Amino acid sequence: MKFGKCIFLFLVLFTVAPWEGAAQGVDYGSRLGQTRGGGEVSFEPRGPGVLFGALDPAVRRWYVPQELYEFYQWKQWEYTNYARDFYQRYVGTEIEGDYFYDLYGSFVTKGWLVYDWRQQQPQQFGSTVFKTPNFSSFFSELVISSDQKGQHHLAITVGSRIRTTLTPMTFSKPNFDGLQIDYQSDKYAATVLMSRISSPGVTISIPVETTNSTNLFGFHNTVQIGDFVKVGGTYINARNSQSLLESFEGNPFTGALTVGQNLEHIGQIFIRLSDDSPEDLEGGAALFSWDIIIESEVEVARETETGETVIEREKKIERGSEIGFEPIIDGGFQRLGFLAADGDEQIELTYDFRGASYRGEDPSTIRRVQIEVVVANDYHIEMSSDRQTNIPENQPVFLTQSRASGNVRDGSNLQLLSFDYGLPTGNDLFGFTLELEDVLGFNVYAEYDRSRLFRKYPNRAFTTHRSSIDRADAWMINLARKEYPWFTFGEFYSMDPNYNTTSLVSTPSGDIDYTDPVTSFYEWVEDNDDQDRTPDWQRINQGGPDRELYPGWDENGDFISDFNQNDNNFTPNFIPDYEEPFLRFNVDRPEFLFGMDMNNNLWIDRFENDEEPDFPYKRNRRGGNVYVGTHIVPSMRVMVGHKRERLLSVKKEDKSTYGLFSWDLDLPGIGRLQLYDMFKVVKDDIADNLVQWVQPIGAPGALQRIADPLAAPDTWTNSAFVGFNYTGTDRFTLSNKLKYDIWRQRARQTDFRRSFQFFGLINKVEYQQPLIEHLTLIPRIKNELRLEAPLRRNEPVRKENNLLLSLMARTSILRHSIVQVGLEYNIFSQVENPVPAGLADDARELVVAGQYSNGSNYLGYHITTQLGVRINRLDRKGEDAFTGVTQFVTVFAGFE
Amino acid sequence: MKKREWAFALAFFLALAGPSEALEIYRVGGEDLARPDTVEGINFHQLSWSDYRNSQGLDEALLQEGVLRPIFVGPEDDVAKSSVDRGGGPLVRVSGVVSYSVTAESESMLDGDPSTYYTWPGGVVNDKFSVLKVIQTRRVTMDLGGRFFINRVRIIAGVSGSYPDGLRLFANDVVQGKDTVSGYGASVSTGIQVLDLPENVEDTIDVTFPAVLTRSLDLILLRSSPRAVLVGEIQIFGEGFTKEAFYEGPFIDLGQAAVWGNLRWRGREDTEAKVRIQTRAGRDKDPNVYWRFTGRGSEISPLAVNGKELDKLGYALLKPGEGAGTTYDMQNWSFWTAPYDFADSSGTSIVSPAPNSVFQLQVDFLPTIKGGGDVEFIEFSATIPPLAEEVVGEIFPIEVPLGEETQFTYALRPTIRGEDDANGFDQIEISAPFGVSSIDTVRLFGVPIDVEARFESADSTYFSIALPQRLGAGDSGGVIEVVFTAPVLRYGTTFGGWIRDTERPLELPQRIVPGDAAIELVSEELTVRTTLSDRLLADLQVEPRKFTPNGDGINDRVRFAFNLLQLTNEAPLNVRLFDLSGRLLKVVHDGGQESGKLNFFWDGRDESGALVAPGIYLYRIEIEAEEKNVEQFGTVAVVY
Repeated sequence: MKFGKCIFLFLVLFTVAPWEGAAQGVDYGSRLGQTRGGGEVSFEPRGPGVLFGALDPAVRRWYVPQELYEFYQWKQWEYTNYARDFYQRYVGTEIEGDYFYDLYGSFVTKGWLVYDWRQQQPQQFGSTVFKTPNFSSFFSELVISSDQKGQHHLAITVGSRIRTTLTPMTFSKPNFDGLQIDYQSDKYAATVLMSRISSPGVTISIPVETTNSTNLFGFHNTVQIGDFVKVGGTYINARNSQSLLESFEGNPFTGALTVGQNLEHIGQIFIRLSDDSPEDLEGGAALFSWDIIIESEVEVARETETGETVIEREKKIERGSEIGFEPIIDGGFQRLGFLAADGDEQIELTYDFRGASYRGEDPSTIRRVQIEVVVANDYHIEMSSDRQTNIPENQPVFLTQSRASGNVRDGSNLQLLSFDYGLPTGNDLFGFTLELEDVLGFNVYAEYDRSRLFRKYPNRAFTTHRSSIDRADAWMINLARKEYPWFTFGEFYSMDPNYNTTSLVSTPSGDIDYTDPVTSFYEWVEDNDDQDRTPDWQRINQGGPDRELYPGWDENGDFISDFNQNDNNFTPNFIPDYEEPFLRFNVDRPEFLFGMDMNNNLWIDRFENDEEPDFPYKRNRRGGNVYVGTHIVPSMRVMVGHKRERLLSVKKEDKSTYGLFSWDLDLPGIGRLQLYDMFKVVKDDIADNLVQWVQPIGAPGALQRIADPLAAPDTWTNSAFVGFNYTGTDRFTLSNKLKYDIWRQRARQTDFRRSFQFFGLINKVEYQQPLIEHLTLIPRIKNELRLEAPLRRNEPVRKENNLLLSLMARTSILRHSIVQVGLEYNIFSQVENPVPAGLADDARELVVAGQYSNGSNYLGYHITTQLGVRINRLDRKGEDAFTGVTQFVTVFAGFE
Repeated sequence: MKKREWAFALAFFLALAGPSEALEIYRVGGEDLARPDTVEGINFHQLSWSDYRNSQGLDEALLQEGVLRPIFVGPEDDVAKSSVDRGGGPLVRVSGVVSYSVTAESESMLDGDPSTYYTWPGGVVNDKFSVLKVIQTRRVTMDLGGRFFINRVRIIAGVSGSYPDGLRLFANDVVQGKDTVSGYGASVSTGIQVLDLPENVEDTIDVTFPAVLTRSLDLILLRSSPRAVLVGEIQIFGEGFTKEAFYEGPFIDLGQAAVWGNLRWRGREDTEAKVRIQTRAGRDKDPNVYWRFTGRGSEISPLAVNGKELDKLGYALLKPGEGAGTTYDMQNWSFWTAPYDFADSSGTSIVSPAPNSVFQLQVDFLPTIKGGGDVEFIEFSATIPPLAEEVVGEIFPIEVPLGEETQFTYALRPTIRGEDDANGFDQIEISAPFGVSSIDTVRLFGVPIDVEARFESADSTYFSIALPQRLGAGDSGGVIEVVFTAPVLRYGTTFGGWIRDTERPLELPQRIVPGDAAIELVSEELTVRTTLSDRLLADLQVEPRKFTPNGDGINDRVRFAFNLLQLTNEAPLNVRLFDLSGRLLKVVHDGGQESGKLNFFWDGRDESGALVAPGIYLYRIEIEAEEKNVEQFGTVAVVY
């Protein structure tokens, strides 16, 4: 067996076998421990022995000296006098800490407990996580044990906020709280994750003990096969655990019902059928027939051959239709032969085990309940029970059981569906990855994953329970090849709507709120669109929510939106930089950005923020995208592609055929020319709604829902961008930016203009002219022209021009002082007359500012002191002129 | 309704029901229309739209005038003012409570009098290092009590100079507070921003913006100075129809069991809008069952302590915690029917079960901004008493092979009371959605009888059986069995049945309801299930394979006969002929089809009407169902 395989075996054993403590001998000389032959000091537990010094047949109770004697030579009966030999206080670094032993009794160390997680069953409060205060104070909640020999590397990381990713579709968190064991060699890599996710522990001086818990175990490995192929496997499991049960009862992967879940037997089961595409008001769920199959385990008295009566357990299966157990049916439109739930209508079947119509075995003997329905069309089936409720109101919570594929309305998908009812006890996921490098010129990444959700039918009369499984799949393939000047890329993907990477976690009392993500959801793949350390949403024990969320708008990585760079907690600034005097010369509006909008929701994809886990592709979608391209010259490329994507649960589709031209030319001594154009022919009725960061003028930025207007039902679009920056001389800079977007509807749309157009042109020029020594004059001109015919007919056409004239002077005085004065005159003009409703009228704004700035060193800090004044006068047409003054004296302390 | 219209309507009823003494006609709305009081034998009942159990989003003024229509908002209609009547109103933050609610003070913003106002007390505003001073915000959420397209807001200060310094407007499709996203600040809302007015120095803010569908509007008042802001009036204007409107009529109690006749109405359904009319019927005036906890564990009971059935009033008087909820009374009430096709306004058969004594109507409007609809009146007929107190039926077998001919036994058992033989029937009518191959036997009280069976439709989907004698009260409880052979082409095929008294030919037929009609049959259903199959097309027969379209009357055309299976709705079906080179010659059929036995013919002519040359031709039958497409190919030969 090769060494790498041995390491794998070790890792597996490590997770299930007792941990072998590394008992290291610590040299305390002869003062502590027991000296063995050869002078070795041992702390091994041996039990008390027969002490020769104590073999004194006297009545007096002079205790045999132990630690105080051994360490300080103090005897209990002796007179203490510290005149010559000063008193030594008890505390010494040598005697701090405790003695620790492993489960074999081997001495581990004398020191401090840092972290301890253990599960003991069957036992009340048998799950314990103990993060001692030392875990935080010594190690800031991150401890790494490591080892290495040759090419083999091993690290065991225990931390509260570990950046962990196994694969993009299975596990990716910015702050995993738990244990991560990593192994890597030249060919092999493996990772094991473990965490008690329901309560991973806080650093307090007592252990966090629970009876009910939810534990996570994850494993991922990769193996390099040859030079080009790397295959990987992933398994992640999160399951509820109840320490009152014996450890090896039932299937450990499917989890156990918590005490709260198994407190009472099920009284009512609810099945709800609704329209999976309610907006079309037709063709919703069609329910033809239904039945319930009840499997119970009853005690039957039998007489043996010897005449004795023995009690045996016997499985009994009953059909509701045979014993007259019919559901209460609420809702639905009665059509010929079936019930229909079209639009907002819902059909609810209630099987009431407490009702008079139930004539089956006693509910306390039921082990399994299976529901059968014959359904057709666009159905959405959910199930619940009186034991599957939310915590505050104890109302049933419906969890999706099945959804029709597409939006069938003609009954052609008629089928019998059968599913077991149970309460969620755990979920897992297994998957495989394949990476190919330069195989036939292609680089390939492929991943397949299957998620499973386990449910168990509760019954407190039994300790093991029948489980049922809901499955969902996800896969993706990325291929790329570059063969200069040609290149190509393809991506194909599918993710079922119920593909699941969320675990329901138990409270210590065993209750689960099936609706509240904040208290009960643990995410394996976080929503973290801005890729910072905080998840965007709020989940139990996982941080969040992220209060400042602007993906892509922080290119300089300072955690501040680049559109409001001068905002901070101490001096909040509520004006976007493209509106703020003096800053607005350099910062252009986001409308002038160019980028890919592959989902046609009018937002550049890299700036999008949603409320979904950060899978590479969205749930409930299947599709592909392929493009090929060529470099005409190294800086110029052209590509054409086609994207096709559809929703799996409803009949909606996005078909795009596109071409992209890009030319990014660096002209030494002149500047940079950027020329981009993207043309698309699109049919898209898939909504990609967003929650975007909005920075209103005069108020803190915040998140706001943005609905996808579905602007491309049958549309061709073109987005062109030309940018030029002249950097030929040091003193003179010229910057030009032109953007032209057009979305042309190929068929008439009720709410949309035939052509949605945006034309924007920005021209900027800046010149720095030194006049005399230390005095520089900086004239600047910026003109922004914006012509826009918005998407919706009821929004006004916008034709605006903004001319910004600016003059700044800067001079140094003394050695560390700078005086700056600035004048800015802004002319805002509406081309349309009269000004359309909803748009601002013409305005003139004059801003004058002066500032003295001194920088000097003081007490190790670099002190920057600023004094200044700014006066701005705004004269908007039809309104009284407004003058505002800001005066300030400010001191900043920074580092050199 | 004009006299001529009424005459037409009456003729319709009479054609169906005749001048029975027991024909009751109920009309809801249309009070100013002509009444049929001159016609003998008809009892007419005029009801008003304004007598409803529940309604939302309806124009009250028009409703009083006798027309049901969703609220239409004109340019000068203040939807804020009327919001309280719809259960909405201005929600403001209540001091000390982390919630928003309508208060007496906040309602003063809608009373038309600016001198009574809502106060946003003054406070300290900290200066910040900013060009503008820090802005304080206060949110007032206007719950409009319905969803409207709004485009204009006017805010009037309570006292001159007490105006807000700015305003932001956010439109929500729900009532604010019920749909939140973590991370939202107080200065914006979860809604879509429709306006940002950063500065204001006027006592009246009057702003317009593109129309947006709104249930609640968040008005974020801005203030950059510590002075108090007093909001005297908030007015909100919009355009178009409200997004949702419905009417649930009163329980119409006919006093005794009745058989439903037809439903007709007059109204308008605008383009893109929908008007859905539904009915339900019952035996009492409350479709709910009220439950209480008995105190014995979790046991619940529909009976009050005195042993009587718990009713709405009794439920309301229960002690706190004693009520255990309500459920739908399926024993005595039917569910709402599927919406009737609005185009059938001149008369359509009521599908709610009968006999029942209580009838209820519901009208649901689904308007768009430009299109609404209205209903002037709805009329329905009923006969009292029914032919039988109850007639239950069941069919057997109820699980059959899909598409195969099966012999069914259709049993019915009437319960007829009365001594004077006023009630009774002498004819049975049965509908078989996919036709009947043969009517094999009829047994009366277990004895086979010779009867006359007559197909009432050309496609044999409806037949009647005249009984040799009229069955009256003396025959009550006897079982009549009809044995027939028919195919079932769709899972869940219902064989409807009616009884009729031909001695009173104008009496309404009475529907047979599913139930236990015969002891030896165990189905208690009139709906037949089939084996589940993904086949959509079966039993294709092309006859004759060789045909001679020479006009001699023999084999002049080829017939394509097949069964279309399992479809609950129309699916595109086409039958086309091609020559051997693949050129399309003739489209025999191209249109939507539901499940059924279908026959199509080709007479050997192409699209231009010319006879094709002798030879072999390809046919293709294609069904484009939404789940899958099915195609069948084959050849036919044209010879002369």
